[in-house]
Amino acid sequence: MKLEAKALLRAIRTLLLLLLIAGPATAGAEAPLNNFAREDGGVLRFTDTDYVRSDSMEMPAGGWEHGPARRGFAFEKMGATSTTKTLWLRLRFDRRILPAGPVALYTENNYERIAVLLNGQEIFRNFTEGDDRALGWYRPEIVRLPPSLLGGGTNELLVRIESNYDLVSGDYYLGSAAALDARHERMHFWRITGVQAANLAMIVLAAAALWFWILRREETELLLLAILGLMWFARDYNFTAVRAPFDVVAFKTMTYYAVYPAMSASLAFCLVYVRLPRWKLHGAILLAAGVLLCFLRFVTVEWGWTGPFGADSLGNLLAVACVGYTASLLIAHWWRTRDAGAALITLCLTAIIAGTVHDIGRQWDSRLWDGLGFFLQPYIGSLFCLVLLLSFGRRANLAFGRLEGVNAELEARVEDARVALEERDKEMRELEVARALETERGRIMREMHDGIGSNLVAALTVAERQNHPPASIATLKRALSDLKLTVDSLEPLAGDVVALLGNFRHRAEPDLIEAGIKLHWNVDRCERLDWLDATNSLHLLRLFQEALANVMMHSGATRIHLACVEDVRHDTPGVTVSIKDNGSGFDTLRVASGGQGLGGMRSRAEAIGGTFLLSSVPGEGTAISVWLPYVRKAKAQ
Amino acid sequence: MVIRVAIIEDDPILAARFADAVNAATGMMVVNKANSVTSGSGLVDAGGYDVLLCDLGLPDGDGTTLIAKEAAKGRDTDILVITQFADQQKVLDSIRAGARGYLLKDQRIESCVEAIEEIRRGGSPISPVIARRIMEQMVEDRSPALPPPVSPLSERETEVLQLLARGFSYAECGDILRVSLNTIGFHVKNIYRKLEVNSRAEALFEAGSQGLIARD
Repeated sequence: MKLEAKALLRAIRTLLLLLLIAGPATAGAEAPLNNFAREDGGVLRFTDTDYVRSDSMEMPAGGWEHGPARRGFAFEKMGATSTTKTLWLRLRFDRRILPAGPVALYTENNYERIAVLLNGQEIFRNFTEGDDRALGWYRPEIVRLPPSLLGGGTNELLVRIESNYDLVSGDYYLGSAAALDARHERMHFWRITGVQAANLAMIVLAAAALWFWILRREETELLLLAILGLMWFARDYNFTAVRAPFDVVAFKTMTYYAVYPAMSASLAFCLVYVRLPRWKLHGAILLAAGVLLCFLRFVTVEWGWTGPFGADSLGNLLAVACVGYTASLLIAHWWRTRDAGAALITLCLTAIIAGTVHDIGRQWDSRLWDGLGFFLQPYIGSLFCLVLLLSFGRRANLAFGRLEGVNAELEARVEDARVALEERDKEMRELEVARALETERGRIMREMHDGIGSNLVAALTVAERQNHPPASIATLKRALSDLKLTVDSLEPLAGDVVALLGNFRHRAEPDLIEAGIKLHWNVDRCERLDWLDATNSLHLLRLFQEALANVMMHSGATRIHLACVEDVRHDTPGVTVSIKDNGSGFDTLRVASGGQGLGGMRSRAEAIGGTFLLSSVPGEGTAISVWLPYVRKAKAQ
Repeated sequence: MVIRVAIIEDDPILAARFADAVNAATGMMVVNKANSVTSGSGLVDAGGYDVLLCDLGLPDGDGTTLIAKEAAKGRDTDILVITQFADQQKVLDSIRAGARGYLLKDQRIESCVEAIEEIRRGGSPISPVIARRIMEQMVEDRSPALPPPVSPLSERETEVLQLLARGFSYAECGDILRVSLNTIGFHVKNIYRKLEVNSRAEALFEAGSQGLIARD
């Protein structure tokens, strides 16, 4: 039954075709079916169409022309018009070539608004009637064909395309609703949802970049990012808009012009981003080129100037030159510095160039290829934002790292300072205790001396007046001089060994004069001996006293030479104090080391970390010396 | 011209010892004696002596006040401090108060006469420790809170002081600096005088700053 009907229909079609061929007068009566190309998923794409260019809202009664149904067909690149232009398309098909079940019409790339009629009944429109600001050129549309209106055989689809700008017919597909839904969903994502998301993110980032730039004026790349973000947003808004935000002609004009400053700012951003030397100059050149491109478009579109290579060509050449110029600068810079940032931005620019080539190829008036099925251009601006975001992330990461380093260093320093403070505190406490001990010892000694001393003086005076035996007087004198020595050792001289010696001389000289001995004084200026405290001073003074006593009692000398000089021994700096006399001297081998108080002197010298030396030649005198280091070794302290 | 000597000393044995030595020497005599701050004060008021020997540890107070009192009179008097064991800080304090030298209680009695003659000739005895102390106070470790010295030491005075601090005698200092013994004595007396002047200026400064603090 079905086969019979099919055969019958075919016969009728053949007949009609014959009639068509027979005379054009009969063409309007019964038009032939349109042709399809079969695509993936059993989807059929119209490859030809009938059309009527008519501004009437009424269905055209006739005058259909035939042509290929492909974008770029039946368009008028009119630019801005004050009146709405209309194009009618007619697509005829046989229901039976479509799969059973729900079927749909899928269309894209129409400029600008469409209404669809199935067998004379309107089933879809993507705009509100009378709204001349409605937009829809990039939006993919899917229209379910209502089964109630769908005839079993030949069906006729009429599409009314309206535009206040360029007038273009798009692509039309028929197929199962499921297959076309999938296609629609995919396209809707890449053309609408993705673009909206990218542009929304971009404009928010651009606003943030502007704010950051106000805070940090030296970061020119932030200003450029704000500009490029705003320009790309102005450029890309029309891709997804369902309605122009203001007059559609002005809106479209803005859309076209915005691409030039957007491009210039993007290219300049690349140069600033990589810190190209003399980026100001190159950036200025690119921005000037952007202005020039706007001007070229203006004279081409508004004044109809075609230039030496035809309309748009000069502008396109200039745009390509700008991109090439920037790319070469970036590549050269990357080659010189091998900077990761330069590599990233060069890669980014390369991707943009590839994307632009892709877009140009699928533009409706060149139509070299369909490519991915959508334009990549609306994603360019957000790509720059992504680049800046990456670089900000890198800088933030570095900054955090540095901050952590600084914190760690500060903590370490605080710890060091705390330890040092504790040590100093401890030293201070120890010093205070030592000083207190010293002061107290001094006080007790002086009390003793003042008491015992004045009694000794009184006793001495009495003894001398009453002619006591010389031995008693000598004992009293010795006791007194020993007291004086002890008092002198308490003198706070801060380790000044020379002052200690001077004081000793002051005490001892009257005795030497009495003994008829002349003292030769040869004392150099010396550094301080920090370890020379009261106890050590007393050792030293007793050692000198012993030495002088030996000279006075045993040597019969008439001259003493006392010297104090700086002396380095075994790489250790120190001082040597020496006492030489011109007395009788003695054989050092025959005198036991403990004799004549020599052992006492030696042990005193060793007790204070010094070195005692004795040399004597019979008949030539005796010399003793004590070497004292400036800084004592730990064990001697 | 006879050198008139006054003695303020509370120890009668010591006082007698000094008096005997002075009176025994030619060209000097003891004209007055006192044994306390109270009687000493009257002695200073009465005056009539060229050299004042003054003990520091008197039963009713510090002899330094008497030294300051004598110095304030502005007479051509030389003051020598009598001290137990040459407690250097006390000697220095008395020099700041106006003394120009010291006698040790246990000194050989002849040296006491020599010291009196020396000081009348214009010299002043000085021990290395005192020289060092003066240097610390006037040349090296001056506290920044103090005003600059009213009478800073001259270069030559500083040199003399440095040599004395190293234990050189006047004669040796004279040899090293190629000047006479008397010149060294003169320098030392000047150093003492400057120390006294400066210490008085410092005391005034101190009082002034404390007054300011009190007013706040």
